[in-house]
Amino acid sequence: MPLSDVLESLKNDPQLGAGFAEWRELPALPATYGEFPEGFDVRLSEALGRSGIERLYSHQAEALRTVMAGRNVVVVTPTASGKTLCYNLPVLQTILKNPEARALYLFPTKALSQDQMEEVHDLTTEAQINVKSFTYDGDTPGEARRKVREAGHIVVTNPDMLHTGILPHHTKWIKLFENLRYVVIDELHQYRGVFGSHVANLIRRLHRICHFYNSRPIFITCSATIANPRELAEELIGKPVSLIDQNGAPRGRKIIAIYNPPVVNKELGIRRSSVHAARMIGTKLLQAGVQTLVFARSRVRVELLLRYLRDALKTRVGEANKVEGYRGGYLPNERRAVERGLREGRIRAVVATNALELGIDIGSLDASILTGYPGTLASAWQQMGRAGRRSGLSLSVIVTSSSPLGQYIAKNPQYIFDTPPEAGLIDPENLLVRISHVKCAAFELPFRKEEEFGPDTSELLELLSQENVLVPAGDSYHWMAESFPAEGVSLRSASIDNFVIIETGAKARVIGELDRPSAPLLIHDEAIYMHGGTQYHVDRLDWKEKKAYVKKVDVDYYTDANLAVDLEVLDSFSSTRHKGTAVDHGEVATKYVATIFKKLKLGTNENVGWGKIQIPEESHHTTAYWMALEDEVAAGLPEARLEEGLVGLAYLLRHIAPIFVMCDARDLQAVAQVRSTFTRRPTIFVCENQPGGVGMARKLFEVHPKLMRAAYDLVRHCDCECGCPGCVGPAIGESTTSKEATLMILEGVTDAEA
Amino acid sequence: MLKRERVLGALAELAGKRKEKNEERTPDDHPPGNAPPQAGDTAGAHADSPLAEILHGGWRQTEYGPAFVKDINFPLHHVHGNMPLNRVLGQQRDAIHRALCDRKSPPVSSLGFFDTETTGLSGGTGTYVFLAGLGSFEKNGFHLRQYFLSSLEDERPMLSALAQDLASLEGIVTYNGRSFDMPVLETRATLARLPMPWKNRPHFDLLRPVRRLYRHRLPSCRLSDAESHILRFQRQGDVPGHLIPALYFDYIRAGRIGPLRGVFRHNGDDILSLVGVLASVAALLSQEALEASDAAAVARWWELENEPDRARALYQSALPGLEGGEDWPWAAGRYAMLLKRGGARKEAAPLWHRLWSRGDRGAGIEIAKYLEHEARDLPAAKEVTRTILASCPKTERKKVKHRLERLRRKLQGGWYGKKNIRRKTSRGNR
Repeated sequence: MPLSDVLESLKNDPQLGAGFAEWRELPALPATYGEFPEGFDVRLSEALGRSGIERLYSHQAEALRTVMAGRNVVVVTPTASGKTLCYNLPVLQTILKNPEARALYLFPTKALSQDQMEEVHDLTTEAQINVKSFTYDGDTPGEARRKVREAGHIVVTNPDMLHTGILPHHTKWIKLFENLRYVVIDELHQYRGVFGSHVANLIRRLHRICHFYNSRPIFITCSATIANPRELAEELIGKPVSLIDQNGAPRGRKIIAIYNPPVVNKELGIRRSSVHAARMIGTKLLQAGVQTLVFARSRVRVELLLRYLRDALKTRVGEANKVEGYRGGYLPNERRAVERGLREGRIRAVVATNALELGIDIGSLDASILTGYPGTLASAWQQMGRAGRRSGLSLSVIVTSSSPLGQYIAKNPQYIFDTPPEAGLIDPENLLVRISHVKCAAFELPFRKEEEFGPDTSELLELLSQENVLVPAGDSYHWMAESFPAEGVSLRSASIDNFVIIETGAKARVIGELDRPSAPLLIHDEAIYMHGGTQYHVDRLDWKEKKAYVKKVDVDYYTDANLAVDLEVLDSFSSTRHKGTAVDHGEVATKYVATIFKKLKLGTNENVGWGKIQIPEESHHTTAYWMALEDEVAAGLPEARLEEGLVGLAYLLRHIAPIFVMCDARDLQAVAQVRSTFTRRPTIFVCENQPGGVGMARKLFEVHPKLMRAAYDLVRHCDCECGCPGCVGPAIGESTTSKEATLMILEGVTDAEA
Repeated sequence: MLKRERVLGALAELAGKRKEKNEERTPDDHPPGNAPPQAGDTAGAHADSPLAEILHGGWRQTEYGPAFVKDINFPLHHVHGNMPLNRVLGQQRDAIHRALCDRKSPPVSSLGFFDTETTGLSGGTGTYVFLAGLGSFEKNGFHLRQYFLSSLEDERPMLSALAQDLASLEGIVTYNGRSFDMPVLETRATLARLPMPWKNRPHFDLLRPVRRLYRHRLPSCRLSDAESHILRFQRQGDVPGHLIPALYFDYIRAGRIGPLRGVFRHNGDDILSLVGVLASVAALLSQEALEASDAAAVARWWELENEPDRARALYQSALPGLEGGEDWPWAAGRYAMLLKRGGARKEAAPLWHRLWSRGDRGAGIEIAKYLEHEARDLPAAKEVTRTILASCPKTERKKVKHRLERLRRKLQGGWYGKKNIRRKTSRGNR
C-alpha cells in the first residue's frame, strides 16, 4: 500500500483517528547549490560526478571554502544533508596536495567510525587516489595497529580510544601528530553533559600533544540542530569557530503527526500507554509494508515493543524475524547485522533506543514512530529525520506519553515546529572531570608550571603533587606513579564499570551489559530483565563483581523499581529572589537507594506483588537548583496539602525541565521538603544526576521565571480533575487535592509577565 | 571554596592508602658499607655527592650535562648461578647464530646485554626508564654500566649517555625487549627529542629462544624463572620486581638513596642472567650428546626452523629416555606427526596407539585414518572411531560422526560403489 493511502487509513481509523492532535505537512524543499572552489582536484570532483554528485550543495561548498581558508567550522544541517562531504572534501583535497598531511576523525561510537571509514574508502576508490583511511578502535587487531599509526592518512576513531589508546602513547603516533592538519568531530551535539565535559578536556589534551609536535590542526565539526552549536563547538575545542547553518540539501514532503493516547481513567487522568499506541500504529504500518523505525525511550520499552510487534506480525504474516531490536547492551555483531538488514531491506522494522539516532547509515526508511517525546527537540528532529531522505513522502509520528512533557507537546504542537531547539550544555571546568584529565595530561607530557588547563591549573598541579601523583622538577610537574591514569577515567559517565549479564545454565553465556546507574533499577535480585524480546529472571546480582546471573523465563509480569533520594545542601553558588520564592543553585550531597520493586502485570499494569531491593546506598555530590517558598505563599496551605503541592510541583519541574535545558528527566532528580534544614522553608530541589553536575542546574536557575510560567500554564490547562501523570502526577490514594495545592503554590510564584 | 576542600579530602584519602603501602615496602636490606665486588672507576666521579657515595657511581659529562652512571667490572671467570660468564665466548659461532635466530649476528664480544627498570609496566608516555644496565665483554672482563635517572630534569644526559654506548655496540641482546624495553626507551627518546642512534643496530630478544626451548619445562618464561631453572641462579636478598617503582618514587620524593642499591643489584643480576641464558641456549643447540628432555626441546626447535630431518632424528633419540616422564606425550605426538609428514605412517602408528590408550583423541583420529586408508582394517577403524565418538565434545562430534558414517558405508561395500559411480559420471561429463 503506498504511504499516502496508509496515511488516510490512519486518519480514518476508528480506534486511532481521534487521538491525533496534529497533522503537519512539511513541504518539499528544492536544493541550493554552490560551486567547487578554484583549484579543486578534478580527480575528486569527477569521482563525485560519477557517483551522481555533480554539484555541491551550498553548505558543502561553503564549508569547503571556509576550511580551506584555515578556519575552524561547525556545520549544522539536518540528517541526510550530505554532511560528510563537508569534511571529507577539504581533508582529501589537502592530502592530495600534500601526501604527508594527516587527519583525525572522531565519532561518538565505533559503529559510526566503521560506517565513515567505508564512505571515505568508496570515494577514494572511485577517484583512484592513494589515500589510506583506517579505523583505530578496540576492535583493531594488534597486527594492523602499527600500519594505521605509520601509514594512515585518515585515522577514524572515537573519543574513548583517543583517551586511552592514542594520546597516552602519542610518541608512537609521531607521524600523525607532526602532520595533523584536520580534526573532524561529527555528531557534535552528542558531546554534551558529562560526556561533553570530558571530551572538552580530552581536546585540551589533544592540543597539548599537537603543540608538542608543532602542529595546529583545523577543527571541522558537525552537529544536529541545537540552539548553540557555535558556543558548544567553541567550548569543546577551545578555539573560535565559524558557523555554517544554511542547509542546501533538498527535502522530500514529510508528514509529522502527533498522537496523544486517549484517557482511559478520567478520575486519575490516566492515558493509554504510549507503548500501546506505538504498537497499534506500528502494526498498521508494517501490515501495509511500510519500512518503519520505532524509537522507544528505554531499553525496557524497546524490548516490550519488540515483542508486541513480533507477535503482531507472527500471527498475521509469519515474518516475526523481520522485526529486530537495536540498543546499547546488544553485542556489536548483533547490531551490525541489524544495520545491514535495514539497508538491504530484509528487516522491515527496527525498534531502537536513541542509539540509532546517530548517523549510522541504514538507508532511507519510510516512517518513524517516536514512542514518547524523546525529551529534546534536537533528538526529536534527529529521530524524525531517520524517515525520509531527499525525495518522496515520509511519515513521522510522535506518540506522546502521559508525562507532563508529553502533554505539553500534545497541547502545544507548535512547540515542535516553532521553538528553537535546546542548548547543549557542558561544563569543562567540572572539578572532578578536570582533575582526572589533568592527571592523564601529566602522564602524556610533563606540565610546565605556568601552563593552563582551565582555571587555577597551578593549584591543581600543586595539589596532585602533594598527593604523590605528580612530582615537581625544574619548571615542570612530572607524572610519577605506576598506574595508567586514562584507564581509571571513563568519558561516558562518572561511574566506570558496566555490569555484565550472564545467562546461567549448562552453557553460561554473556547476554549483555548494563551501565552502573541502571543496574539497581533493572537487574536487582528477582527483577525481570528483558533482552532481545526474551524475559530473564535475575537470580542473583553480584554487586561487587558487577555480574548479574539470570535465567530465561516466561512470565506475565514485569518489574519496576523505585529510587529513594536523601539530600543535603553543601554550598550555594548564587541566589536570587523571584515572586514568592528564594531561588538558588549550588552544590548538594545526595544519597540514592533503590528500595522496593513492584511486579506489574503485562498489558494491564496491575500490581501483582513486590519485593525489597538490597543494594548498597550510592551517594554523590552534584549541583542542584532549588526554590524555597516565602511565608505568604505557604501560608494558605495546611501542612498536609503543602506537602502534596510541593510533591506535585517537584514532579512537574523535573519533567518539564527539558523544555528549557537539553537533558532528559532521567538526568535530574526532584526532591520536595516541607521544611528544608538549609533554607528552613518549604523547598523543592532539582538536582543533576551526574556527580559534580554539568551546568543544567545553573541553566534552570537562570530560566526559573519561565519555568514557573510553563508549569503554571500546563497545570491550569490540564483537563484532568485532580492530578494526572500529565501535570502534577497521578492523584495518590484518597487524595484529590494535589492539583489544587500545586496550583495554589504556582499562583503565588508565577509572574504574570514571564 | 568548599568544593575544592572536598576534592582535597578525596585525594588525601587516596594518598593515605598509598602511604600505607609504601611503608610496607621500604625495608633497607642493604646496610651501607656492603659494597658490590670490584666497583670500578667512573670518569669524573664527584666523590662528594651522596648519590655517588652511597651507590658507588659517578658522573659522566654529556653534551646535555652530567649523567649518573655506575660501572662494575666482573672477571671473565665470574660464575653466575652455574654459569661462568666467559662460557658464552666459547660457544660455536653457529650456535650463537641459531640462539639469536640470525645467521649474521655479530660475535658475542661486540654485543651489548641490556635491561631497564621503569616506573611502571603499563608503558605509554608517563612511564620513565630510571635505570638502564648495559653489559659487554672487554679484554679482561665483563663490564657493566648502569645509567641512572638522578633527577627528572636530567633525562636527556642520562639517555644521551646510554644512546651513545648502545650505538657503539654491534647488536643489543634483551629479554622481552622487543615488546617492552626498546619501545619504552624509544618513547623516552622521542619525548626528550633525542636521536636514536641504536635503532639501526640489530636487536636480539632472548625471550623467543627461551620460549621455544623451555616452554614445556618452565613455570613461566619470565627471566626470573628462566634463570633459576636454566642457570640454577638464586638471587640473594633481591628486591622483587613489583616493588622497584615504589623505591624509585621514594628516592624522587624523599631522597632515600639507600634502598636503590637493591634495585641496581637486581638490574645487574638481570644482565648477568642474559649472558648466562644465551650461553645455555647456544650450548644446547650445539651439543651432540643431549639429555633426553633437552633433546626433545631442541628437536622442537628444528621442527619450528623447518628442518624436519634433524628434528626427527633428535626426537627418535630422545623418546626412550622420556618414557614415563611428562615430556613423552608431546614429544611422541610431534614425532609421530613428523613421521606422517615424511610418509612413514607405519612407524607412527605404534606411537599413536600408545597416545590413544592414554586418552589422546587427536592420536585416536590419526589411528582411525591410518587403519582406514593405510592398513585397510575397516572394522578396527570403525571400532576406534566409535570409541572416540563416545568421548568427544560437541564441537568435534560432527566430523567424527561423518567418519563413522563413511566407515559404515565402506563396510557395507556401498562406498566403493558410490566412488565408482562418481568416477563414471565425471568421465561421462568430459
